[in-house]
Amino acid sequence: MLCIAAFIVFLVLGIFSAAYRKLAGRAWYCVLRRVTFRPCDINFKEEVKGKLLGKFVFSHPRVAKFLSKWIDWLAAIFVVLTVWSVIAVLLSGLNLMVYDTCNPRDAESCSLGGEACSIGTTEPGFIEALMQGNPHGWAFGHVVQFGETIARVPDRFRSILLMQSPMIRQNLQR
Amino acid sequence: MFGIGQKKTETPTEGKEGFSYLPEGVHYFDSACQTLRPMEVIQAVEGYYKTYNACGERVKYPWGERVDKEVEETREAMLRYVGKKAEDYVVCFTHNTTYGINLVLSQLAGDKFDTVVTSDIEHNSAYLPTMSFAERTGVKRVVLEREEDGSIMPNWKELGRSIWLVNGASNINGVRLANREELAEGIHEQGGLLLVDAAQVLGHHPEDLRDLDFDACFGSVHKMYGPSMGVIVIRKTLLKQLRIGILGGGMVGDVYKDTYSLLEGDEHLHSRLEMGLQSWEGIIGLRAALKWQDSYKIQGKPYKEYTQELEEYTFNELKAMQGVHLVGEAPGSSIAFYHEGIDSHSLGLMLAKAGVYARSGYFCCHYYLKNKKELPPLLRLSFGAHLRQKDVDHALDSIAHIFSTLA
Repeated sequence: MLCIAAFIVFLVLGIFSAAYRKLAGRAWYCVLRRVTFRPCDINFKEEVKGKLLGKFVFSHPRVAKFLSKWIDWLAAIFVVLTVWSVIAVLLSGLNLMVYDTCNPRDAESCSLGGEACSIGTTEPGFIEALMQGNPHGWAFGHVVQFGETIARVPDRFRSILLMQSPMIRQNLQR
Repeated sequence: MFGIGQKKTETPTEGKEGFSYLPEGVHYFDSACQTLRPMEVIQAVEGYYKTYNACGERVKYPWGERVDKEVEETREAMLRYVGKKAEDYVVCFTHNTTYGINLVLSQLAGDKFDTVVTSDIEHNSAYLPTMSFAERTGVKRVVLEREEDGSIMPNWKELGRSIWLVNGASNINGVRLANREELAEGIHEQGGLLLVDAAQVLGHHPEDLRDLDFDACFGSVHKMYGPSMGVIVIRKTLLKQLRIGILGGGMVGDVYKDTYSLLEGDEHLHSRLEMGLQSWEGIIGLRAALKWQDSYKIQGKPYKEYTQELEEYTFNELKAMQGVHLVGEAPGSSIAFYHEGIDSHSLGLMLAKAGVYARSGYFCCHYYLKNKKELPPLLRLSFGAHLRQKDVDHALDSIAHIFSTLA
């Protein structure tokens, strides 16, 4: 998991500094191995760990101790949060394109949307669903919503084209 | 605690004559890879570049003649250094130990030998060429075990007439070939050859080679305080036996359309392994390194004696640390170890933050450390003439701090 977290970090840093691109490449090799359930290059993992701990072990030993103990968990949390964030952004973008709001279930909560209207949903959030013992229902609902969104994409493109091109509008009217 | 994690400054280090260019806060413990170079060597190389930068053994103008003279002096000094006579041995210069070993083995016919023998703790530079030699010639390859004290106990009857390629001292923990003279005797009784990987011996224990009846020894000048270069000291009879197939300038008497003749005469024998231009500055630097080694003292004693005291002290201190596993039972020019709870690569990186530069991994001894002993990656502290007690104290304090914080 540390390799995946390292890849994300080095990929972003590599945009600004060439020094990190080589590291991003090595991390990517590690990611490929991890996602195919093969062991990562142990040297790279320990190199990342050593460099990170090295920054603190002499100046802030307690921080180093904490990181040393929890680094794999912290990396896992970082990866999960990053992936979740990326998915949320992509979904919001898709919703914005299709529905003119990033949250079709509660349009008013989305500051990026146009003047879309929606009837406020009473569907439970993830925590509530979990507490109700129905997280799979929550997930299924989102999958259905995603499917409906994808299904509307062609219509949405058609609407956009009609709005943008008078010639197409005229041809269709004929 | 001694200055753990102190910010490094760039002021030169006092008390390290010959190495005063080192910045404060740098504690280099990787001499087994390459030693630092004393100022005398740096000045000799610089002097060559600035005042007589010419090719040797080819030209007649004053610069070239000076190079020839110094190269000749270096060859003589090298022979004296390993206690051999010019009547019997030749000094050849190469890139490094690896290149020298491959140069000789690749040009040695195998038809007169029954086995090629090596030991399990060899560096890849020696271990691998014996594989290719066996594959090329069809000669049986034998890998013998080293005892804890570094000796090898062969069954002579099984080996027949053999070519031996073994190190005089291990780059893992500095353990020396304890029964080397006895082995040489046994090998020669069978009509075999003794080739010594002397990469770690030449810089620390050249006396081991002086009474040893080897057929060739291979060294790296950059591990004995000289520039980056290799050196071979080879018996003339062996050199003449080689089927020279790696050819180039500087080694031929004449060249015709489809044939050539090598330079004749013992005075030109070295050229058979010196194809092309040599590292003239490296050879001149080697001469300076050999002169420097003769005279360098620390606290009134020969530097090797002082360094050995540091090695013993470090070994004992590490042995006393909980969780530390040392390779070998006794101190040597290198000390390799690992900690149960901390990866050695991580340890090396953390130590680097404290200015302690040490190598981690398997030190090109993959077979022995990784596959035979199945050890995790190790950290190696290797010693050189530039180190002082305060360097060792700082390294040990840093190591102890890391262990107490993270383990």
